Amino acid sequence: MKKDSKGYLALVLHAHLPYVRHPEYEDFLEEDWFYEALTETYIPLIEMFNRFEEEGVDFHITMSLTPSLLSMMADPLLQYRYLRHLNRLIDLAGREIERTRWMPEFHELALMYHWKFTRARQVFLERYDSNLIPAFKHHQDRGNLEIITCGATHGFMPLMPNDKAARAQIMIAADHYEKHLGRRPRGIWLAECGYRPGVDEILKEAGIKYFFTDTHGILYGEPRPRHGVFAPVYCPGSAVAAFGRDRESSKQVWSAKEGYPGDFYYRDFYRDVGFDLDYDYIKPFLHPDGNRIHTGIKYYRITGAEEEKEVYRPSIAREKAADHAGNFMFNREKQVEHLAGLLGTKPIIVSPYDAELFGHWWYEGPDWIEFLLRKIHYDQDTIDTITPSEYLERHPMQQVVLPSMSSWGYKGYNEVWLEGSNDWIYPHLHIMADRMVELAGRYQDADGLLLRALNQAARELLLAQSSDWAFIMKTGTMVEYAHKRTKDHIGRFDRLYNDILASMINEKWLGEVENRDNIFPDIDYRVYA
Amino acid sequence: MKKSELRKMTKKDLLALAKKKRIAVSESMLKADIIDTVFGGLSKSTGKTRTKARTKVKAKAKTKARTKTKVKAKTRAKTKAKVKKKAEVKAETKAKQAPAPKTGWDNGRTIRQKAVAGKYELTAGPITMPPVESMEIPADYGVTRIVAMAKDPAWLFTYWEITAERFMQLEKKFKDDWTKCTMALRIYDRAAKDHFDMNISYEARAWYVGVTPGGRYQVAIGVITPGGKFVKIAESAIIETPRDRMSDRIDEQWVMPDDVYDRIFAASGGYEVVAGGGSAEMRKMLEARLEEQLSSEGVSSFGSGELMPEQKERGFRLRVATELILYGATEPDAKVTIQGKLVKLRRDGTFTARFALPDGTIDIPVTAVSGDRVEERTIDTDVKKKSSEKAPVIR
Repeated sequence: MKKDSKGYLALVLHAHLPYVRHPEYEDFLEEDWFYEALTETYIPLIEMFNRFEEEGVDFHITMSLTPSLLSMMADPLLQYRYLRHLNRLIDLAGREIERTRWMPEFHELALMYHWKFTRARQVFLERYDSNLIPAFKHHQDRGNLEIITCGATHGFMPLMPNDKAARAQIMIAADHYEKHLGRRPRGIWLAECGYRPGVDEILKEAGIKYFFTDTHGILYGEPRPRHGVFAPVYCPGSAVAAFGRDRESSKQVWSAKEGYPGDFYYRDFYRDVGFDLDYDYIKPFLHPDGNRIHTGIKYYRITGAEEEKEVYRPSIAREKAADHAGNFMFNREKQVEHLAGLLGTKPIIVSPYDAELFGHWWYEGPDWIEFLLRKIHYDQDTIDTITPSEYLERHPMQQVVLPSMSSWGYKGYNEVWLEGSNDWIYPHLHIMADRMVELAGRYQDADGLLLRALNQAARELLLAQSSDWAFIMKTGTMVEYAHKRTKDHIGRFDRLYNDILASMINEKWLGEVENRDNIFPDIDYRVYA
Repeated sequence: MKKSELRKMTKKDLLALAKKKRIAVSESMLKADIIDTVFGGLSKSTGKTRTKARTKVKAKAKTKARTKTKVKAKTRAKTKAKVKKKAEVKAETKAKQAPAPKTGWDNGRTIRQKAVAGKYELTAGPITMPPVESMEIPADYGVTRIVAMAKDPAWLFTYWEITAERFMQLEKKFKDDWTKCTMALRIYDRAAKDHFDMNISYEARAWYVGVTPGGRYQVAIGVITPGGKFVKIAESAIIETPRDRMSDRIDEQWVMPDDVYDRIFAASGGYEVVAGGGSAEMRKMLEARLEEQLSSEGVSSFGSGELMPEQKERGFRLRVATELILYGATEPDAKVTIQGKLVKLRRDGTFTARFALPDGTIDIPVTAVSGDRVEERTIDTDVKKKSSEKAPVIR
């Protein structure tokens, strides 16, 4: 901690992917979401934490690792497939080194990719034996990283009226967290920052001390928040703390006008060798259906408005990332100084971002975070980085305010997940929740096949509740898959429900479904009772 | 109604009008505030509700048609074709990448919107995985119920199911009057102790209803008899719509001067200090700014061209690249180098190398040394490449 700091910066990275795992296929496109995030985001972040540890850089950062993401990280099939994926990439990068021999600028990039992929394999396989959870846990145990949880399957609370189903999302998540990280979670990232009054009561029951809302969740709270979003508030009754998102720091990264990731020298996301190179050459690295896909090898920079893109230069991009980190830090210092005068107390600036956007989409994002944390450590004394738990320990006295229902989605409420493209899912999701509660009430001491069927019904409900499906339907990217997943889980639940009531459980089919939708192996359906 | 007309009314009349139009105002508000609220409420209320509701009915009617298997197959094929078309267009747009001048992003979308879409971006082609198991989902559940949820401060979403048995009961009850009955939603405003009805068609399964922020609502579905009586079939739980502005309540223990509060609020809404000025007015301005930010910064409207049209440009493109494939054969135990770099031989002694070919002349010596190191052979290839682009012809 700095001696005379005037305020705090709480960086929050929300790491999440929906549970995508398809043993029934040899190769499955959407699993690439996870593999790409491992290579481009999670492993670079771990390496950054490791470097900080080696060099004695003090840093405090909060990161959610959602139960579905933790489950994928711990899954042997996905671990094996990730290695297969990496090996293919290393092979492709090796060929690219040869192919670009007469084009030095590209050659240098091919070497960089080859090195990065090889390095990722080394970290993943040799250092962590294919399971990255202990890597994150290590930095949590050292007191630099605070890992928080999220609804079991990223269920969106404002559209989940059944309180027992909402409770199950939280309780399962907290138990799952404890199993993988060795203690109870202190904080939670509510999926999409989606809060509705009452959720805090469930958090309290799970022993969770704080959550986040978007800016207006606090500003429109009741009564008026004395410190705006620059101090947390306690929810009345539950005394769970709510931290509001700071808009200024969020805008600096994401604004279309001044946002950092749009810099012309940063890597262009869309120009990928998967689309650019000769089909016969690239085909062995595509999926069996032969569609061109993003491979992760990208040679161009954003460049500007021109159609012609210029070749990416990593050294210049790195300098840009350093500049942007310096600019961000400078603005936080000014912001904190201004607010400290206004509030008469040390303000906390809460800056949450989707983790996967650093690295996967904004390729230089991890560099930017690293520069930022380094600079904060070495170059200034105005701000301290802090996690919400640490803040609450130091500043336990806060105002009591009931936050307003809100999310960080488009227009700030539920519209993204409830509109023409996806509203058809709710009649199903809601009755499934009601029926799961009904089953848990009716069968209190199930065992054998019935127990298995009841637990599987709970898994199907949870998987259907992932807010990702509604989100994807709305955004129009990979929609077919979101439809398929939603329908599969609705259909499987419906069959399980009817089979259970009729005492006609088909063990063979149940076994197949258990194998496919294997999330939360220790689930106990009684959580719905 | 114009704002100037509202200004001419007395506060009492304004309150009455607001009540009639179901716009939430309170007596403690200043007249100017009431005018603004009523004006805002009028411009977005009924007309919008209707259009929105209508499109909704259409959509839902379609969904229903889908349950007939024949229609279903057709619809599916259609959707697939549509998806395919969309994917093609998208591939083009992506490759084209025509961003706005200054930052390299089209102005319509924020970076976060594009970025979050990027999280799920994998391919531009249609996905053709054969289903291992395809599940049928129930069209309905045999439960008469109605559920309501807040979509945002101003809109409720409600859906319902009424079983065939329930309809039969009603038909029996009303006898000849049944055909003269109309279906309706009754929306109870539990805060204002008021309600209003909306007629709906029998085919409708869901509806969006315009309401006021920070309210408590309950929705019932039923029929209106020829005599005008509402007969309830099902009723939702009471739900709350979120507030879209600051709370009026001030915490006694945390009292502070209004202008200090406004400056904190301003900082929270975007770190812009607004000095002086009438408190209520400034707050309204800040609220409007926050609302504007909320509606522009979200993560929803990307990917789909209908929502945020890409810049209109011709989608035509041409890109040409040259690669050189060099292949040959020697004895399997020989060592082969291309430009001095060792090449891996296949088991039969053949080899292939592939290079991206830039403009200019390249000298490519290929050398093989026999396994016993006694003999060495070299073949030299000079390759010259020159490409040029002609000015485009627009017809």
